[in-house]
Amino acid sequence: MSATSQILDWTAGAQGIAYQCCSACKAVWYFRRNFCPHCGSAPPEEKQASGLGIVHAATQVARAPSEELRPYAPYVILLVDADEGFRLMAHGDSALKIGDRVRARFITLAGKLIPHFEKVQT
Amino acid sequence: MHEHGTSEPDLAELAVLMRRHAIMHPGAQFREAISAQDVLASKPIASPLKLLDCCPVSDGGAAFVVTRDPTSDSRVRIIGTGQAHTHQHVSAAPSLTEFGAKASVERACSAAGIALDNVRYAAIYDSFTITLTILLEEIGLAPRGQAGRRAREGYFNFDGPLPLNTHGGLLSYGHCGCGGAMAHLVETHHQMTGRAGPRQVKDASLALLHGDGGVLSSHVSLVLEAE
Repeated sequence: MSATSQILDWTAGAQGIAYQCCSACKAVWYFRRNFCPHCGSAPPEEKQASGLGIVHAATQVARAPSEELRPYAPYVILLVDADEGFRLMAHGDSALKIGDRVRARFITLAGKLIPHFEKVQT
Repeated sequence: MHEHGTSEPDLAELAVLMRRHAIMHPGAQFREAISAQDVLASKPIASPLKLLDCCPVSDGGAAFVVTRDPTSDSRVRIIGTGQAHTHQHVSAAPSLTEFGAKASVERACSAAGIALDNVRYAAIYDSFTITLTILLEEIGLAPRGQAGRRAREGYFNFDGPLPLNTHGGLLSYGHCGCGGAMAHLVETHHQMTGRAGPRQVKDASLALLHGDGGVLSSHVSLVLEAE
């Protein structure tokens, strides 16, 4: 991602979630690539996600994988199906369940800005 | 689990099965009997997995020599191999029930000219009870949602209809990295050549091995035939 991009992305320290899509085959994906992982076309388009999605899977991590995360355990890790059609892994509120409608907010955890999903009240 | 109704007690049955087998292997890391209740009561790691749903981090190793010319009367031949690689990170997997294992095994069976039903011994990667559940069910060695029930009923016992990981698998024999799954192959070779001692199965003439690496992302299958 270039420094001058208008797309906000948490991996670059901005409060937003970016994703990519292919103008040739319309595939949509989350991890940054230089070409489409489905058809190989380049370059992909970069887009701003709404931060809205549905919980596809959830786990509560009791045993943190590193010393820096240990103070935060237990915490919840989700797979979220974003409205735009890609899936991402992220932190979330502890009461979330599969199928919940969620929205990303941004928190600082262990010194890093990350998305954290919470339930959308309907 | 959400889609096929698998429960935490179902997962526990696979840990119990691996321990049952490990008890019969003098080289296994864990040889003390456990019950499904012990698995369920072990400390939480990442829900729904508890400590006894997870393989240990082990010291160890395995080695074998593959030769063109026979070196003994006990011969095992690789008759089919297959691979499938659909993703790296779990968020990029085609689904949480289709990881590429079935495609890999189908390629291996097709190359070997056999049907899955012909397999007499199975060696399947079991880093966690959920991994083994997913692989058994995706490959088709158990119906969806039924891997735990089959384990509980003895289907995968060393003296059952389809013996599975008779050394105790990664979950109880131990997991020392690459050598962890190589132990599945060593045990398969022991079984196919009639050298598994008290764990010896009745018929290991045709074996299926399946391993995965990454995050259920790199699938490799082997079909072995005893000569």
